[in-house]
Amino acid sequence: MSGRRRLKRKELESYLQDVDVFNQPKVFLEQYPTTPHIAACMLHTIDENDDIEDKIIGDLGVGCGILSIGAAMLGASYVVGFDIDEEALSICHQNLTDLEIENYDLVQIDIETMLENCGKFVKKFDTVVMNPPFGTKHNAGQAVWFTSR
Amino acid sequence: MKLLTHNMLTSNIIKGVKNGYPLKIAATKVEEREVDYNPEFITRLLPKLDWSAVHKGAVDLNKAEGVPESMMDDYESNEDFLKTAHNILLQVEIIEGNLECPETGRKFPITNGIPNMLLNEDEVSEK
Repeated sequence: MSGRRRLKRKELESYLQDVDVFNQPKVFLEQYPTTPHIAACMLHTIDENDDIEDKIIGDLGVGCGILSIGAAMLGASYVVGFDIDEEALSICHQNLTDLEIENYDLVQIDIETMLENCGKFVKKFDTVVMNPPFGTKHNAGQAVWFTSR
Repeated sequence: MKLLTHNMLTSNIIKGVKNGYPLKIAATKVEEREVDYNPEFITRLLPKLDWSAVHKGAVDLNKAEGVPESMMDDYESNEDFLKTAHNILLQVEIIEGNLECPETGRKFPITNGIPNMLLNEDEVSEK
């Protein structure tokens, strides 16, 4: 995987336009798709920090999967997406299959419960990405990421 | 779901469960698929894993042949072991079945490769 030409942000953004999003976003779960533009900006920044290629990525609140898909396109070795909603996971799964992405897994779980018992999870990931519900409908999807080393 | 992900999952999320790891695997549909072998990735990955849980998972899946119970000390230069690890962690896909809490027997269903770890209200610890 070394020697890969880094995908330009605009290229990544155009690939991410193909990702299918929620048919009927559930307001009570505060579901909204991260736009291809925001996803590309966010992932590009993380990639420039060398935190995606060959790394193990956790995506908390994966939704329809745009962040995980982008990470896979940027050369992540393995991506695990976690989400509470099975419809979102089903769309995510379909997206990943359509794009022939292989090294991923999806887990249906309440992220809050998971984080309270996160011992075994945290050590495994090089990088965790998320664009989670923030508890307000007015917050326009600010993306947060951190690396766990 | 691959064994790499299984290595991360625990039923400690259930109220009262002290050691819900590793989850027992009762698979009804398993597929094997070829995935590009990346020895650097496997080498970097191995120290992060609980290998005994990998072995137990392999036993549950009837795929433990050739899978050592503990990780080799010289794993970095042991090509055979790296390939075994690559196969068992990444190439075996559990499509349908259940994960089971080793303490309570509580089942977490796996559907279309996705395990469902959602809890009922009475299983969630008080905050």
